[in-house]
Amino acid sequence: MKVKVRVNTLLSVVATVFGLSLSANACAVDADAALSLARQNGCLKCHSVEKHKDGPAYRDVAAKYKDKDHAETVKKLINHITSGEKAKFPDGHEEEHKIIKVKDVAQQTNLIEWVLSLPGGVWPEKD
Amino acid sequence: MKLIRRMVSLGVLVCGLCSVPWALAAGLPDLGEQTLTQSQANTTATESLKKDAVCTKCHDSSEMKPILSIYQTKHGVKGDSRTPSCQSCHGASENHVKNTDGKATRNKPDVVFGTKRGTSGAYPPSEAKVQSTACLSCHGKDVNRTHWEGGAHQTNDMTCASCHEVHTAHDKVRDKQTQPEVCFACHKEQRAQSKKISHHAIGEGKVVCSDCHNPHGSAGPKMLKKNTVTETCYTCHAEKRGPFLWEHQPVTEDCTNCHTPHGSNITPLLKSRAPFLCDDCHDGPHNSQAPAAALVGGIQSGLTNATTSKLANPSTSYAGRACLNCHVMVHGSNSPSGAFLHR
Repeated sequence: MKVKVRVNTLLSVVATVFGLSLSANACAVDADAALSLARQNGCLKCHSVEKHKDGPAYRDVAAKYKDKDHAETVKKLINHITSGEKAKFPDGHEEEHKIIKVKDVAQQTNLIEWVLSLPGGVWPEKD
Repeated sequence: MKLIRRMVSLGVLVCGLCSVPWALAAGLPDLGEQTLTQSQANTTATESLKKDAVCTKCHDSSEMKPILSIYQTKHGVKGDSRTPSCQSCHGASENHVKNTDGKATRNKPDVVFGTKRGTSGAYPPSEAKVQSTACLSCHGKDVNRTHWEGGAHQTNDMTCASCHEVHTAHDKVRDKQTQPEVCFACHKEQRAQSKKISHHAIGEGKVVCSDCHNPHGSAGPKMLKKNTVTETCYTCHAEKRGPFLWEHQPVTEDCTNCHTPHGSNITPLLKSRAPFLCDDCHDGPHNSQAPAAALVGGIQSGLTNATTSKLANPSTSYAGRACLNCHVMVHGSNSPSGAFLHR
C-alpha cells in the first residue's frame, strides 16, 4: 500500500515537472532569432534596442505596453509590422511602416515577445 | 675647475641660442602653422561627418553588411578634404533620404554598388557605367586606369565593386594572400592550372595575378601590365632578356610559345614535353617525329647504320629523350661557340 502511494506521488511529481517545462518552453523567447530577424528585415534602421532613432527604442516600447493586456498588445504589434500602417516620424511626416517579409506567425510573435520582454525602458521615452 | 665648468656651460648655452634662428630658417616645422592645419583638418572632418550623419543615422552598426567599418579604411579618413563622404559615391539621394512618397520601401539611392550576383542589399545595383563613373571621378586620374574603358573587364559589364569591397577594412583583392581567390571566382580555368605541379607561387602567396595583369585595363594583350608578353615576363625573369649573341627566336617573340604561365604538369611551366615541344618547330637532322620502337631499323633504332654498319647518330627522340640535355642555353647564348645553344 505504502509503495503504491509512493509510486503515485512520484508519478505526479514527474508529470508536474514535465508540464512546467513544457509551459516554460512555450513562453521562452528566442532572443537571437528575434534580433536576427529584426536585422534581416531592416527594422534596426529606424529602431534600436536601447537608443531612440527615428522610431522608439525597443525597451521603451516594452515599457509603454508593460501594464496593458499582453495578448492584445501582441496582436496589435503584429498588425503594426504586417499591415503597413502609417508611422509618424520625429519631423512630423508620416510613412508606411515597413512590412516584415516573414509570413510565419510564430517568428513574428517571437519578435514581438522579445521586444516586450526587454527591461529598463521608460515611457514616455527620453531621447 | 669650477670656473672652467661654468665657462663651458655658458658657451654651450650661447651656441644653442645662436643656432635657433638658423634651425628655423632651415625649415623646421612652424608650430603656429601646424596648429592652423590641425584646425583646418578638424573643420574638414566635422563637415564631412555631418554629411555622413544623414546616412549613418539609419545605416549604422546594425546593418547586415558592415557599413561603418569604412572609417577604418583610407576612404574614411575624415581630416583630408580629398576623401569622400557617403554622398560623394552614393549621390545626394534626396528621394531616398526624404522618402516624399511615404511608402514603406524607399526609393533607391542614386548610386547602388554591387553586382547582380553580389548585392545583398534591398535594391538592385546601378548600371555598371554609373558605378564606375562614381569611382573614376577620383580614381580615373591614375595612369593605371587609363585603359579601363574598352578593357575586357569593362566591356563585360564588370564594376569596381565586382572585385573591391570598399566598406571593409580588409579589401581581399588588395591583399597578396587573398587576391587570387577573388580573381579565381571567375577565372576558374586559371585556378585549376595554378594547382598543377609546375606553377607560379600563387597559392603560396608569393606571386599574385596583379603582378602580371592590370585588371583595370592595359594596352598589352590579356590585360598584361606591359605592352607584350615577353616584356611582362622579363620584369621578373630578367636573365632571359638578353641581349644574346645567339638568340632563340621564339624567346624574343613570345614566352607563351613554349610556356603556359598559369601552371603545367611539365616543369618548368611547359606546354608540352621535350622533345615533342621542340619538334613543333625543329625537324632537324638528328630529330624525328616518327615513334621509335624496338624493331625499327636504321637510324631510328638508335645505334647503327644498317647499310654501312657504322655508328650512326641516335634519334634524340629515342636515345636522348630530351633536347635540353644538350641545348641547355635554350633562352639564348653569349658564348662565341654557342650557335646551337649548347653553351
